[in-house]
Amino acid sequence: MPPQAATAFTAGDYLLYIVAMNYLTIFSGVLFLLAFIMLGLIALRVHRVFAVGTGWPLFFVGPVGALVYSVYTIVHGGGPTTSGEALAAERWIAYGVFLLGSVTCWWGLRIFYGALRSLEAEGRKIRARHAEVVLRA
Amino acid sequence: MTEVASSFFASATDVLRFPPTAFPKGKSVQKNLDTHYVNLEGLFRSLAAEGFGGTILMVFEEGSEALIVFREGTIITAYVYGKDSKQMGLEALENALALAKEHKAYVDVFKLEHEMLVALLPLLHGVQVHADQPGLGIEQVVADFKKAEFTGALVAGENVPEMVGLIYAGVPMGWFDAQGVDHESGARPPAVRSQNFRAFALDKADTFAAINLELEKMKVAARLREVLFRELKEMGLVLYDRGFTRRKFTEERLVSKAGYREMVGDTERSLASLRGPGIARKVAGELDALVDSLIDVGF
Repeated sequence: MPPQAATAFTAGDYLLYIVAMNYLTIFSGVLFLLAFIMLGLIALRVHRVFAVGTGWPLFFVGPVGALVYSVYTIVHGGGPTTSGEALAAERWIAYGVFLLGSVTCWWGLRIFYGALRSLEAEGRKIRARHAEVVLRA
Repeated sequence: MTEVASSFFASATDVLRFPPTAFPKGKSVQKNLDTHYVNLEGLFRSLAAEGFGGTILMVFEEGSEALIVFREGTIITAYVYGKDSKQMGLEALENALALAKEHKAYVDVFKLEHEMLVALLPLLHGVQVHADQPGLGIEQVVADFKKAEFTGALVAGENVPEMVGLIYAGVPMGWFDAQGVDHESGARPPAVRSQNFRAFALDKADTFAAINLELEKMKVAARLREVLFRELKEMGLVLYDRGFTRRKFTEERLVSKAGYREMVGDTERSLASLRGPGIARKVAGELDALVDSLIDVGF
């Protein structure tokens, strides 16, 4: 049997492995984006109320990498559509932006976590101070 | 010598018909202030700011009388004498302020030196110390008190006070008639018809202040913190503390009811930004109820 015949997609396979997967990629990319935007909104609220650096813009910028990667996956989901050289450049861009976006999100999380920890520590100090006042009274 | 021993008898306001107008009056600072024209909270705030020590006498048109006692700029006790009831302490202060909102009253402010104030307080919160020796004249009673370095009030009279003497460390500071006016007889007691003398002294130091507004404020502040901690954990405490600092408050015990209200407003706005207006309103309602439990004396 020729090798081409073994790898050829049937109409059902194409629907499942190409079309459905493309939609799933779009869906997960958008979810990823929304999740971080929501986290960014929470960080923005904390920043506004407590006037602490929460790195909230990073949560809006970071997921763009995931979106770019999603777009790349969809465009090339059906197989190579361009020359090998251009494809390599596109891959570098797509995976590079994805990595950069991930690092940005991770960095934002780190800043936000640090801000929450410092607020928590401040709260504990306030609690201890008031406990001391009660004890003195 | 007359035995001056602590006893468990009631205070002067319990055993005698002793309306606030009969209480010894000090140096008059303000007279006949009409509550229709005078902001009572403003007056209290001003007295608190100057560290006032003395009494505020309020005579209401509906017949009740109230006495509010200040010491070092804070209200330490109050007494309301109504047609049907008598109240003391925080209950009396609340009632006096409520009456002032409903009825017109005339307000007199009397300044009292620390020694006079200390001797006057037993009339409200002291216990009767037994000095019952029939036939003993007032001169002899005073001489005995001098030896015992007695501090408190000596009241002559059967059912109503005919004369009140304020004695500090055995030294009579002043003698006052049934209207609380000074006889100006110096240390020498004036002649009295009654041979029935009762002496009142503070039984324990902690009876000195029946009202501790500062403690009340600290309790309310602690409850506010509890609510915020429940809602936001440590971040709730940070929110509270930052609001406190932003308003330039220094100590919880010194913040007025209006100050706590402003803080609740700030907290509601912050919570609305953080968790949405619905939750903010619910929490602010809870905080407002706590602040409402504070008595508003203006400071």
